[in-house]
Amino acid sequence: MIKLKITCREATEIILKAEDRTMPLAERLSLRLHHRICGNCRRFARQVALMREASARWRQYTED
Amino acid sequence: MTAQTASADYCSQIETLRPVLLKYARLQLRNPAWAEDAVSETVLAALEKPQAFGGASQLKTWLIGILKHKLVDQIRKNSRELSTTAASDDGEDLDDLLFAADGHWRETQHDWGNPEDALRQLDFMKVLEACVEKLPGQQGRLFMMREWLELESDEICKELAITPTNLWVMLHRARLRLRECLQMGWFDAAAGGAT
Repeated sequence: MIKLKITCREATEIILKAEDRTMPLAERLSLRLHHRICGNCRRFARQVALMREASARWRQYTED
Repeated sequence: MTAQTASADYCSQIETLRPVLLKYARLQLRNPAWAEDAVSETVLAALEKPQAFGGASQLKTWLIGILKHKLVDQIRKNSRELSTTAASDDGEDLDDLLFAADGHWRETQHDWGNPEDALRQLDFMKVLEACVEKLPGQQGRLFMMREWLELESDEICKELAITPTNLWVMLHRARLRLRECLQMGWFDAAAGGAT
């Protein structure tokens, strides 16, 4: 069953899990709805994206 | 230049890079003895096959590439021990500190701004490295396997004989911890400096 209303704690779990596996469609939908009403989780998702980019730069940095 | 002097130069260059190799080996394995082994094997491989280094890339880039393979070998060799030491050194549960009982954030989350602003700076890489180093043992190891060795989740689960759920829980904790550390070590510090 698709859970439409999720808490911030659940949203962050979905955001972080997406770093390590493909996000199921149902979760993608719940997250999108949650992001509409939650600035904290939107900012959190951007922080995670920055960390992902940072890891890539870091791999480069460790080799140069 | 004779072959003799070139070879001596090659050896000394490799020797110079040994501390760097050891730093990353330790960061990955969290075990000084295994790290020494992985670095020794890397150096040995490089000394035995100098012709394999074509000079197309930098010596350091080439050595780190070999080291990454040797680190995976070490992880395989010690997988039994690695999977059993799992959650013993986990540290406190950040989720409970971050979220109230109703599942809402306790505090407002900060805007980290444009990634380029932070990532361009060499100091940011140093802070990031220090934060990775501070991750508890198994969390750090798994985070490094995923982000530095670039192993797929299912590969990691297979090598360490852990379940995907277990892996996600550990990586979840690692990433939350890393985020806290970057917030305090970089973004708060930067904001403090600007005022």
